Amino acid sequence: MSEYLRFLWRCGRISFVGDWRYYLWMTFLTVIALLGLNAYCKQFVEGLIVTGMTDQVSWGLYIANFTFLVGMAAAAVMLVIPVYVYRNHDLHNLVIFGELLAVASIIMCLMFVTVDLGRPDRFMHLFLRFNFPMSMLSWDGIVLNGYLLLNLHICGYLIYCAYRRRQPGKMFYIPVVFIAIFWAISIHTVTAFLYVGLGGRPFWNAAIIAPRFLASAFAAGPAFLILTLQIINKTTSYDVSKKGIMLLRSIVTVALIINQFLLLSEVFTEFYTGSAHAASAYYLFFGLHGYTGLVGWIWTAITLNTIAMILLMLPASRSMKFLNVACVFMIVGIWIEKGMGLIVPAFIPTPLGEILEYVPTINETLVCLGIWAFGLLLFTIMVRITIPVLAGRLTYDTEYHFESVVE
Amino acid sequence: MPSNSSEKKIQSNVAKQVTPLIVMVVFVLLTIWFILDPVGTGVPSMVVVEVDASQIDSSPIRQMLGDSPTARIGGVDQSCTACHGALLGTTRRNAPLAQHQHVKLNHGINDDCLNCHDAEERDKLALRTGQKISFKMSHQLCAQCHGTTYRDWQDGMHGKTLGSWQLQSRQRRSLKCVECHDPHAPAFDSFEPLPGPHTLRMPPEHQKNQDKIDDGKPATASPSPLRRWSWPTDKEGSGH
Amino acid sequence: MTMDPHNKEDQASDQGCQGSCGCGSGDGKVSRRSFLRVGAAALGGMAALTAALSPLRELDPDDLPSVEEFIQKHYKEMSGEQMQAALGRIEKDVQKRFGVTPEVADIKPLDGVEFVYALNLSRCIGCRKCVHACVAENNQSRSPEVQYIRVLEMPRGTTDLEQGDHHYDRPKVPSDHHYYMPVQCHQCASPPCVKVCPIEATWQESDGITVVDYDWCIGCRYCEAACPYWARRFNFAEPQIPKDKLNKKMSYLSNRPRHKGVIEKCHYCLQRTRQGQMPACLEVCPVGARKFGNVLDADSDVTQILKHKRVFVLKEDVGTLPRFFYYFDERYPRSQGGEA
Repeated sequence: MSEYLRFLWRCGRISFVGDWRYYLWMTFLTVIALLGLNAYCKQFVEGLIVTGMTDQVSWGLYIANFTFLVGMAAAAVMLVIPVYVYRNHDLHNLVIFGELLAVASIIMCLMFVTVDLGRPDRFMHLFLRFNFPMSMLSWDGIVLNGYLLLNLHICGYLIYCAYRRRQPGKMFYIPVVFIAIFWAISIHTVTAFLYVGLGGRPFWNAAIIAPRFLASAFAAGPAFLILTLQIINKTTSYDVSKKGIMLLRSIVTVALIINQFLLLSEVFTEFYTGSAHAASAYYLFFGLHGYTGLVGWIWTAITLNTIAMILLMLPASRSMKFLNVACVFMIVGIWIEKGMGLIVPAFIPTPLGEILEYVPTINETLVCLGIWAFGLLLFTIMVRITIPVLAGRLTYDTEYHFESVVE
Repeated sequence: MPSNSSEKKIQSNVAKQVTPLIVMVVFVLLTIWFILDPVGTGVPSMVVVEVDASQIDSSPIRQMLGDSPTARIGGVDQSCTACHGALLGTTRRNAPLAQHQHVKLNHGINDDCLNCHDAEERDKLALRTGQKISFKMSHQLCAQCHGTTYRDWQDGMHGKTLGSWQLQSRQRRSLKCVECHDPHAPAFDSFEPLPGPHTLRMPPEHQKNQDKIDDGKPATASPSPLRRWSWPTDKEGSGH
Repeated sequence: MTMDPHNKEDQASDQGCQGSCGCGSGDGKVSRRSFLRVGAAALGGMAALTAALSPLRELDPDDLPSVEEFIQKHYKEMSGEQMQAALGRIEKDVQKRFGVTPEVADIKPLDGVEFVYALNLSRCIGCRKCVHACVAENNQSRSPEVQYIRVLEMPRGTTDLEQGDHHYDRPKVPSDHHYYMPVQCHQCASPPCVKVCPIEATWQESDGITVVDYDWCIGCRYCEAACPYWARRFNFAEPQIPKDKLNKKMSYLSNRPRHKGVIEKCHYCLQRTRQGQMPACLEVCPVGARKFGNVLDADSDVTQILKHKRVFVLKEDVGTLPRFFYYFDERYPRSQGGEA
């Protein structure tokens, strides 16, 4: 026990150690996170009136980011499956980063849900009277927290074993890994069902939303990891195999193609049928009655995703430069598509046909940035701890030499 | 880098000394930012609509006349027969009105006073059968022509019922025809509507209607009802 | 955030870094200057954190839940005594906020009663009196504006809500070429809003009214997204009501003043209707377009209407089974000829 406490203490200590780039990066994130905290304090005092949300558009940027991040969290499974099901060796020492990303993403998700609440002080009510299994939100609470625990367990256990120089006991984590695979699918499916289950919002009420969620998640999440792994490769001595990244590239390519295909199917159904239910889709893609707030966004997303898809299919993207461009495009594209493109248009027009456009306020944007910064801060710290431990430089029997991240 | 060149070490030393200072400066600036709070909270301005209690008064819009209606003449309440007893006035149909000029009869084909008012006894009304009825029972008169509406009214489907939804309740009261309709001009007057919604973050141009100023023409100005959406190039029909 | 880092780094270099590492502290001693620098950065971080929290100074202690409110149970779990205590607390709260002593009760549904509303679209003239009578009766926020009823001006020849105009602003109503369709909570028999609430803060009562416990709602607005009739409203800020406009007759599940951050909605004026009265929107309607009653009573107005009129419900295809019916007479009332 005392050994474990010492482990935690040393983890905490090392997270404050790094070279000047590390400090500047962490300071930058801290500043953004504090700006977000400040903005949230304002929201806590004034109410959600400081956001751009209204009765007409009652969910906005918070829920949009939440949705996107659930996808990022689920994406860990795209590394776990090759490693644990197909015994792929290239990704073997990278899979942990996927799981860490999942942990950070879920924490961000939970924060986004919390800031979206009108009465966060009544959070306890979730435990006192839980509308399960009727409410999809209660399902979501279970699967998200469950996924967080599963991944915390996997990461924590593996890292601690490495710290103790012990072989991880398969009994203690392999079953959990397999549960987590299904669980990852479930968090995304359940989150999609949050929206899909609402008959009063025809834009969401389509069976294809859940598969589309998964496809876009499996594209954006690994894309984010491709970028992260390269940063790790550049700034640390950790061994990131190019083969592993190339495998992620193929995963991302397939996922993105499927995503684009599903999007096309949806667009066709909406517009070819031309039923009254397509009003939100008209608003999103072409504007409705002269209101065109989201048109620029969605076409930007489609353009970015299409360019990314073409790039990925070309052999050129074997070069990191092109691959990175494709990944950035895709992450931004999918963020728009899933955030602004999926959440907001369902509210426009309202079920009574009124159109009120949604524009996020500065305060709301700061809160979002703050949560992102905090999540990245967490992710950076976790990676910072993991790398020396897995590399065997920080173990129970070694005195850690305070090498900088650059080493 | 594995090759621990001394040059790198010196660089690193400098970086190590400067970094905390930069960090401090950044945080101090951030503190000042928070204290000055140049952005504010961005609470939007809100329109407060004042509606007077008299504008949402729920009493009947017309007063029913008493059983024997009276008129104030020379400061005294006089019954109809006070004049019409001695000076009966005409009993001729379609006679032009000498008195009661303020009554503008606008009741469709029902265009004669004596269709409803009893020719002899002006304190009474008269059915088509000639049967005299009191003013209180005027709905029977209406029923002669407006049979379906009268039936609906009897069943509670037409007209206004106040007080209670419980059929046995003493508070329950169904308004009579003339408590809403002017018998001489039964069509409803138009009303001045109360203010429309001013919800949060509604831009001002929403609150005024741009293209629905009714000029009495059918609503062809907006796209045909058979067309659901206008494309963005189409500037008409933005009534939202 | 940064206070400890540098400190610890230096402590750490003191212990372990014997100059062999790349950390650069060479001699392995904490130099005073370095300590000062790190300390300054740490202080800066603390100052920024404190300043970041400074908006909380504005927090009104009354805004935070009292201990009683915090430990209050769910409506359905409260005993009679606990309910009395809650009502007492609400009375005090109202007194404090508005300086008015209210009568707060917890009015229960009547046995053998299921409320249904019917609205005659041939009669409605779009005067919006119902909207504002409702606001006055149910202590809705005047700023920001909360209204349970929306009146749509519909072009004749369609029931497509999208073609309705919410913001019609004519000197006189009705227009000859439109009809008017007020929409409020339909008190569905299969309410999607109740289904989605993660904490059962909203439910359907035995008389068919879907209610909200304002002391239980966490303000996630999932119900607002789920409602196909756009009937729910959220308190984005602390509701403002002029003291003299407050309706003092209040009920726990209906018109007692709300706080910010919770959902509210039409409840068929249950503080009135459960005591036999008509809803406020009906009482004020100058044209008798609104009809309300007990659908379990074969002779009630609404039963007659359901039996004899051609009624319809909005968005029947979403399967919500509303208890709010629209009907038309055989034709529009005779047009008035020339019109404003």
